Amino acid sequence: MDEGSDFDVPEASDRSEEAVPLFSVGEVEGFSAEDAAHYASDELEGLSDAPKSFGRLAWTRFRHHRLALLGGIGLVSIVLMFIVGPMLSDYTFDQYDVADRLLGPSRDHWFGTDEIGRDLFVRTAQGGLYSLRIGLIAAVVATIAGTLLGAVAAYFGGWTDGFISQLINLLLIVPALIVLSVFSLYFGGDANRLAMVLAFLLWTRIARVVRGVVLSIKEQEYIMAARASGASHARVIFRHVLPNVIGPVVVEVTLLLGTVIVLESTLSFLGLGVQPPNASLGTLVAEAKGSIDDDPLRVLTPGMFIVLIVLCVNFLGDGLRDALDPRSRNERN
Amino acid sequence: MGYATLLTLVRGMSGTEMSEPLLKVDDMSVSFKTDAGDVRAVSNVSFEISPGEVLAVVGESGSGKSVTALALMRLHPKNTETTGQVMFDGMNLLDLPEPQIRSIRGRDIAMIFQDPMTALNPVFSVGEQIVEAIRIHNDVSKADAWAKVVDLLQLVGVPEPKQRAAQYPHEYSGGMRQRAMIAMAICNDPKLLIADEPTTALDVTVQAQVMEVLHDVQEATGSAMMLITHDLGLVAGSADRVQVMYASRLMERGSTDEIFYESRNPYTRALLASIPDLESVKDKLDSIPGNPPSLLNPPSGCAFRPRCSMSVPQCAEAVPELVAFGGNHASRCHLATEIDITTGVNA
Amino acid sequence: MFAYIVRRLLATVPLLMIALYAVHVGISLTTDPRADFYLCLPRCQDGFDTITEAYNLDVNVWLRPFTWFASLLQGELGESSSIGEPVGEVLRSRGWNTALIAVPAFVISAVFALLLSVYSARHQYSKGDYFFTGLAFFGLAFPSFVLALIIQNVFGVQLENWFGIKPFNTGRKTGTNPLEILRDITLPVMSLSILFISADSRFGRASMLETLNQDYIRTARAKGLPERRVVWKHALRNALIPLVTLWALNFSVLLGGSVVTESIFSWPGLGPAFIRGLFDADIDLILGIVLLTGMFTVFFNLVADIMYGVLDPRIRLD
Ligand SMILES: Nc1ncnc2c1ncn2[C@@H]1O[C@H](COP(=O)(O)OP(=O)(O)O)[C@@H](O)[C@H]1O
Ligand SMILES: [Mg+2]
Repeated sequence: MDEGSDFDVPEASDRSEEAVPLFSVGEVEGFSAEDAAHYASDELEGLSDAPKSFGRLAWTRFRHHRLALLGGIGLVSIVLMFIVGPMLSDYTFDQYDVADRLLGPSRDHWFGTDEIGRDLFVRTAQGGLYSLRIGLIAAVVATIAGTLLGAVAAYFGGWTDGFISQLINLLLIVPALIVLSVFSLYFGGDANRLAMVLAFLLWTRIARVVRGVVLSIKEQEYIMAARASGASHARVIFRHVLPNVIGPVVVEVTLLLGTVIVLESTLSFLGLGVQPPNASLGTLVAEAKGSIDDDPLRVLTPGMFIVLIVLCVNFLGDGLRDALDPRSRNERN
Repeated sequence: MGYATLLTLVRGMSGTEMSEPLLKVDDMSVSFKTDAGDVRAVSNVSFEISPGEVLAVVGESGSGKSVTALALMRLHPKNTETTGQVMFDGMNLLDLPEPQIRSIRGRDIAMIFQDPMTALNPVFSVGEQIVEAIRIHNDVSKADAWAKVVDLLQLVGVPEPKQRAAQYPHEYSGGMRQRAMIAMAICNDPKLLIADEPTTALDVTVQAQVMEVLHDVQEATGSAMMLITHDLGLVAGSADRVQVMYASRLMERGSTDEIFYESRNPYTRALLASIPDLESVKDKLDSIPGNPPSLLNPPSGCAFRPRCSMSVPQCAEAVPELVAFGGNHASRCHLATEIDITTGVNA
Repeated sequence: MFAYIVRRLLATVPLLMIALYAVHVGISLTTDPRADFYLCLPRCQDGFDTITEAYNLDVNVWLRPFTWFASLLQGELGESSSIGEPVGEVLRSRGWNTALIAVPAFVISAVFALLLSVYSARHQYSKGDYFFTGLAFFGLAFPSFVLALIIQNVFGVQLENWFGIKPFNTGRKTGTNPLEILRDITLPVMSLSILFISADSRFGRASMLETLNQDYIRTARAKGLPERRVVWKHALRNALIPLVTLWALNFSVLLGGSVVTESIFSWPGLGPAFIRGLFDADIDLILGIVLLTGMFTVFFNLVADIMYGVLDPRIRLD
């Protein structure tokens, strides 16, 4: 998003549409219709002119994006540690021993123990995996739903577009955390259902992005040509439209993952998300917060894992965006 | 009478050639640092503009014309490296301190950009933007500046200039916006006007009108003009001299007549051949087969070689030097002296 | 303009109603305030009936929201069962407390985010830009509860004598003395501001960079304007346009009560009341807070759009 642009925004139509939005909130997080248009124009360029060189350039840039690489490596390391670590430990997730309660870190208990003597390393690892699992499911579901709904809205326009747009506005009218709280407390429960609740709220952003991209490619000649030559709607959407939105969607899904992990941990911290006996990083922080004065490490450890994971995910997303966004092709020093 | 004497005579008649140049660009190169490598957009370009003279800079899109203009005003993006010298009024613009170059911009050298749709700030009225250009260089009251703006808009042919001055750019048509840009550019009587493709973005129907306005104001103010265009056709009636650029280099320069009737460069001749006749419906865009080379890794030798109908093995080996043909005429081609200038290119 | 406002409200109020309806039905479907009574029936039939009456439980779940809407029309928001006060009163007193930290947090984050955006955009890829971008990345990765806990621990506990805040003290400590209020709000305001600055400055930087790359900025420079003027007049006015929407959203979110930050600092604002209401299935309170936050969103979005029209002459509100 950073770099300048000399593309042709379909200014008249886009502007007037954005001019009086019911809720302009979706644009807020840094993705406007203009970005969308830009993505679109580039994808087209990439397809028609030199798909290979664009792909290769993107990969080169991604590799040169040191932070993105760091993010990728960091994420893989953390996940590996979460998976392999508990195998090496003598303890299990819910095995407790009150005699060993509130121990500090030792060779035996790497991260110490909690109030009823459960091993915090194993709990952190499993909780972390649980958080990641919820985040991934929610991000993927939200992405699929958002992509389809956004594409459909833009492609068909008219009544369909109006309906989906109103649905998006409906979800934006009350702050996300409020809605999430209500629904996750009452409809949440296990990981899958919590993920669905999160996805239910988070598909809107991607839908807006995809809608913007599709709106601007819809007018392109080859789409019209495809329609004119008798291709079905489904065929046009899947063969011509969706391939062009993959770039922006990949970026969005990565950034969404970070958002979901933060939201899930927040809900769990408030007691509205993951419920015992399951644990996520958020519940681990909540469990430890009462003793933060005596033992800040027990709060900091799971807290910092959330921060690290989100940091890595965001670095990755930023790198992908730089790699896939044509505007950062120039100007870097 | 010898050829040289004749030449001096002719030059003497044109008058302007004898005086000190207004702008003297000496061996200027500009490169962009990008992720993919260095892009050398301008390579060792030298030229002069005399007071009151119209110099046309011609070449296909991407040949480095805009970068040349922006670099000499130091308006290019940050990721560039510029070398060489740009002498103006006894100062080298390329190493002038920031406050001084600022006082030259808009006052001594003014620019008109290609796309009037984006070159004006959408959130300020046209009048405000011109007033600002006046008041930054002159100690005049707002009211006086407004009065001058109205006169200027009148001069460039904006109807109802009083009301129009208070309007915003989106309320102007493309042609009107470009007129407003021209008004803004001449508001401080600059010594040099740089017009970068001033009509390219406009409807064909208004192109001629805007060109005419530009010409009238240039003549009225007596300022020199660097007219950048990819359209040789636009140049014929309006430029004193022409210089042709291709792939960051100067390919040929000379008086307008020399370029049009005695061109000694295959690229220039290809450009000339692509000027559509009035009657013909020839498509301008694909008239020179092929595309300009990548500036990231340019071909060896002459950059035009891959598209040149006259190329010989030598062309791949070395970049040709500029060969001078007396006066100002010079061409960058290994075969420059061998080209038969008696053959009309449009024949 | 008036017509525009009316039209906007006509378009959004139904949405708000639908949201409230969905929340009402959602809670009704999943909770039962009589849960404790089923075991003791018929012995406690009286209590059972009272609750049935109070919550209109004999009305069909899908119709029940309409009784709530009906009383809303009479200005009646019901009684909060978890706090034991009328919902209107809870919203008023708690809303005031929330505003006490929301307004300073909003102003501070808006000002700092703007300054950082301009700095980072003007010095793109400089050391300072990398530094602030890094900080923002870091700030964005912090869930609000981790940040608030750390701030509370470091400043409230480790440096207790600086701020005099003990962890988990309930409620604002003092009333009216401005200095004491300042002392009380410092930590929650700090937590909130850091989060909002992180998010906004990255967005602001992008918006500013986008603007600085526009042709009209080059025109402004070509006129001979000093860089200061180019940035603070020509670029800022344009870059502000998307930021206004963001600020409207921030402000409505903040005024609706920051659930996490207020809870951690035991701040008696709307946030903790909401959480408590959720756990107690205090449906009137939850609906009251959803209504309030929804109205804030609607209102500030409207304000944002009006500002849009002021900042950008291309947009006409009619
Ligand atoms: N900011 C930039 N970064 C990298 N390359 C650039 C930049 N601006 C221009 N160029 C390159 O410089 C070359 C010359 O561009 P330009 O001067 O705009 O051509 P034109 O003759 O059409 O005006 C082009 O190949 C273009 O790709
Ligand atoms: Mg150009």
